[in-house]
Amino acid sequence: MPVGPIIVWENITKQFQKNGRTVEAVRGISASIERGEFVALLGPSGCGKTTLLHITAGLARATSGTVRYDDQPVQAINTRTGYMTQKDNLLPWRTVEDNIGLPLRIRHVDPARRRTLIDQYVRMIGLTGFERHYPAELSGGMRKRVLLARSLIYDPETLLMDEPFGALDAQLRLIMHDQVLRIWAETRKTIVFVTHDIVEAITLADRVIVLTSRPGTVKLVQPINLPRPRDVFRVRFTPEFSALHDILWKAIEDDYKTGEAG
Amino acid sequence: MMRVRLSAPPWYERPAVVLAMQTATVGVVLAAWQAVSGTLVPAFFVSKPTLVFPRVWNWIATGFLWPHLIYTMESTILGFLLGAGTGVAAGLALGLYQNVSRVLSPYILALYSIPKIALAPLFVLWFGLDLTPKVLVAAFIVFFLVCLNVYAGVSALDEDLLVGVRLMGASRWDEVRYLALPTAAVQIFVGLKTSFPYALQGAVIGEIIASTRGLGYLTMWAKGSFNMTNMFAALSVLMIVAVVITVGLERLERVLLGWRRAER
Repeated sequence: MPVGPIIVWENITKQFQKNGRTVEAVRGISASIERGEFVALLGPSGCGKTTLLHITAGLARATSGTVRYDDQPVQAINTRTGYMTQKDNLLPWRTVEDNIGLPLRIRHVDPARRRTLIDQYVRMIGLTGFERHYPAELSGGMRKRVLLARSLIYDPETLLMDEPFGALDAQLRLIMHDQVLRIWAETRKTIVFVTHDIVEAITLADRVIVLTSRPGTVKLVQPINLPRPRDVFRVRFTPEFSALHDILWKAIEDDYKTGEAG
Repeated sequence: MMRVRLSAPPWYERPAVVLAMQTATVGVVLAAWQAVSGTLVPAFFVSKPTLVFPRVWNWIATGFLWPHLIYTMESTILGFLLGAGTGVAAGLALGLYQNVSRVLSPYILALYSIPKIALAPLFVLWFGLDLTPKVLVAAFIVFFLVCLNVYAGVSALDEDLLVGVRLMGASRWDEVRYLALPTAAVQIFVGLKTSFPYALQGAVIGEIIASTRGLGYLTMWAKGSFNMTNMFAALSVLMIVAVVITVGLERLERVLLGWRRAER
């Protein structure tokens, strides 16, 4: 078993050119994520959370600073990570099973093994009977589950999730939280979960990294010592949860206030 | 938006009624043709349905039609395949290598805007009187229509989908196979479907300019002998061929692009 953190951000700064002006998305971010840890990145919209995730996955380059993944600098697309985007990016012309199986096809997994895995993951997300449906024939929640299965099927060590359940209704989100925590408990993957929702962050994570609004900097790193397994439907009514909620709200409160004002 | 029906369609929207009215329209037009021929207009210029259709049937029955039909179909299909194949390849290449397409696009548009018919005499001079020039005229027309459609399709790749497949570890070829081609498929089909009649047009033009065979030649032959019955018989055959092929391509499109039905 390798030791040391799986992801290390060393002084990450990212600038964009936008309409001739330089916009700084994140500035001087340093943090590390342990193997098997569930970390939430919490912050207001537009604080560079997605940018940080993109840099971690190798989809974008930091302007300065380095990302180390398993002690190697990330220089190309990091295919050891699975990425679940905010927007649903299932291929509309492929059925549920063909979408879930696509990463395996790309990785040249033989058809028999592919079949077995697809069946296993379709069962896991509870979509048996919908294998031949196209994405447009599914509800929003079903599509999210297909996306989840697709990012898990090739067994990446790390799962990067960018506000994956933002578009779902409140109850459906809780069900997805429950599913994610179960999968995490079974597979012990490292998960980096971007959200702007304090409740979601506390419910899921081992640790919450709070970012300030643009340019994003690390404001607070808060361990969440709630016992596991957590009951996602009830954990938020415990006093420990409220205490954590207060701490995190204090950390981001100012950004929301200034954000509203200006 | 899908229109939701709350009650049964009115009688005039029922498929059987529409079909009956369509059939009636043909009947009226043919009857009018028959009526004016020899009364308002000399039969010499317009012939008449009762002569034209027996003539077509006679061509079929005696086997006269087949060599001409086969010749035209041969150049149409070869031209279509050649033009479509190179058109898809070129469209994909231009779409994926935007640097190249930035440089070449004015020249491509310049070539595209040449009336293709004007190329027929050149191809006849270069390649003689046999099949080659007809195939090339057809291919040239199809190439541009397909190429531009494929290019438009590939250029419109969805950034989110692209990032998605890249993270799965997709190679360049995987991106083409799993993303670019299916994205462009709609456009490719539009290109193929609209261009087939043009392939036929190209082949016929080639035959009109220089040939001793083919459906285009038949119209020239009819013109040369002032035989309007033969003229309309040849035109009827051309129309039937074009319709059959277009309907066939529509069927194929429905099978291959079935996923789009779910989107609507």
